Amino acid sequence: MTQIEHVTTLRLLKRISAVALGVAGFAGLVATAHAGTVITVAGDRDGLGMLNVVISLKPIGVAAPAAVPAIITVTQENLQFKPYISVIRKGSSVVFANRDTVEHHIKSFSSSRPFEIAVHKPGDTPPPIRFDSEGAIVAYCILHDWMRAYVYVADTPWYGTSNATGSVRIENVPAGEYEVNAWHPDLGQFKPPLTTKLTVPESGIVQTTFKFEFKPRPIRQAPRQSGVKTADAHQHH
Amino acid sequence: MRIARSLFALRSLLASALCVCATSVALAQAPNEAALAAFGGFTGLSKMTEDFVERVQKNPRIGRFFKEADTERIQAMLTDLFCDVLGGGCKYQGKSMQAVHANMKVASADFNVLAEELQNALTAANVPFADQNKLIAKLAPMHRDIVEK
Repeated sequence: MTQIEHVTTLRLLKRISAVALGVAGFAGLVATAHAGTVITVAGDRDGLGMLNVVISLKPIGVAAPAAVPAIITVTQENLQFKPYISVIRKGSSVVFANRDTVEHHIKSFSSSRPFEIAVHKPGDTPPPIRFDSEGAIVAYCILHDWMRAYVYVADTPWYGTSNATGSVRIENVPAGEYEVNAWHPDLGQFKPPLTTKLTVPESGIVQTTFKFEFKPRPIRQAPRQSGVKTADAHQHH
Repeated sequence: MRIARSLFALRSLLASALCVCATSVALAQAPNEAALAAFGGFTGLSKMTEDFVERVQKNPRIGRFFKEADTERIQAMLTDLFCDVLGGGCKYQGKSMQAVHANMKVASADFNVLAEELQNALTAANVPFADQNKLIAKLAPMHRDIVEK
């Protein structure tokens, strides 16, 4: 390492620690300052709780705090993508790792971020794919037609995905006005999410409900057939 | 004939070359937007296809074929197929038309109803008539792989 590189590295380190301190300070501030909890409940046409609804809160009139881009992993395991839905912050990246014993061929047709990972060998971990546009991306496996994964790109740190009862709980949300978006995979690529506005109190809980005008389709599962080899979960060390 | 054959060979050569590059590497697909301009680009084509699949599914005559179908995947794959035949720079990688329609017993009249719904979707998407015909002309030969005699 040359002198100049060394100095640059030191400077970079200093800057990183400054940012880290800033983030820690900010987090501390949020925890102690006026912040509330948002609970949302999403239901289908018949009022039943809906699984896999992505809720995101965007502050109105102020920019969402900056975030350090993250890298998450979506695996292919037992001929399924795992997790089925991921929510990431805009600017973050996803690694699609093949943990099966068969090849996969991943392709996204979403206009906001088309990509393809052709001939995706078992055990292969290709470079991360960065997502810079807000919205939902769906990735398919060309070889296994039931396999799909969703990546929801949100430009806010406040989000969550609903459980089987349809509820999401987002804590430590600074008091203020927010736009709340509720998105479900069955909306497809072009139908907009359901949206509402709410005021997060300085403490305590604010609750809102969403009603989708359809019944969610069942999530497609891998067919049970003896001819297809899958990774055995017990073989992982 | 010879020219066509060597063109084909060149295409497969190019395709395999691309495949080598694509191995384990995420490549951004770059649709040729100019070829898709009349359809509103790749996004416009994608929206039109979504509308088309919805129309087909609701159609009283042919909707039954799509009752259990994964319409979201069909929409995605069809967009690629349309983009491919229009020279839009996409490569359809789904199953062959013959394979996906096997045992479905699609009649010629069903095929025609589907073609009508495609025209309806194209008209709703404000695609000029000449461009509608261009797409339909490219798809028409698939009749022999889809319809059961």
